[in-house]
Amino acid sequence: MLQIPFPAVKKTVIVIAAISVVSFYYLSDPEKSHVGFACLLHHSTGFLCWGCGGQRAFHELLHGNLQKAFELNALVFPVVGLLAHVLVCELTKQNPSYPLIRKRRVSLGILILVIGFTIFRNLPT
Amino acid sequence: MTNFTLAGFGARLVAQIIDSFIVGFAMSLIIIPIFGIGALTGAMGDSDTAGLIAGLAILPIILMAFVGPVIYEVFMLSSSRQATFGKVIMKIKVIDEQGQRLTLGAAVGRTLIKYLTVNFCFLLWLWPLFNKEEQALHDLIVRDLVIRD
Repeated sequence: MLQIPFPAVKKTVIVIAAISVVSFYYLSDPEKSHVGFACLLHHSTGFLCWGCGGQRAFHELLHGNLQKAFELNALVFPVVGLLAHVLVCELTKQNPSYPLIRKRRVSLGILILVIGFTIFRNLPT
Repeated sequence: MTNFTLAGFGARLVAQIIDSFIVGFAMSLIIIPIFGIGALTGAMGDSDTAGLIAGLAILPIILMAFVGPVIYEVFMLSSSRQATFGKVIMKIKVIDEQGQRLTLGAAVGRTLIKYLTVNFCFLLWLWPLFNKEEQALHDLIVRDLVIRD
């Protein structure tokens, strides 16, 4: 079977994927292009899930429009922070284990935050 | 349970990216000739036949786009490799809680749940970051683990 140096492949693919995703969302406005993932929950029920608006928010964030990004989906800030942390760990460590976010209290806190955010954004204004 | 090392989030992510390219390439090998025949027929002036070919091609293409990746993953995970080609390259494999190969039923369930959850919200793929066994939702439901081979 194909024998390729494992860490080199992993790091190369991760770097290419990260650059591709950032470039795509910088150049493509999901509001206009309609390219990207559509939310099945929103389409079928009309409710906003925790991720709805995330792609548009990421596009605005990349263009420095922090307020608009926040209005579209406030979770974009912690999610991008988390993904940046994951990216750095995967590129700098051999076997990253993410001990902080795997603590029961932390993961439970994140779950409560996400559920609370989802309920809050669906409250009638 | 035998000793094992978990695959790691990065290795799983990269395996998925590699698999997406493999499946995408395989799909294009099927799709491009069908539309090529349609385009060729259209260029020869027979627009009705070209339209018919393109129309008939859409249903199998839609089916292939959804069913193809599922069949690929089910077949590979329940094979002796216990891994897709992406996972083989990353030297990781899927085992059940007893350390055995997934049954065909478990592989079908795992794959369907996986594609359902990612279509529901791709953020759900971050789930392995939040538990010590690095299990995504599909792993938790089928009770499997992704480990280093």
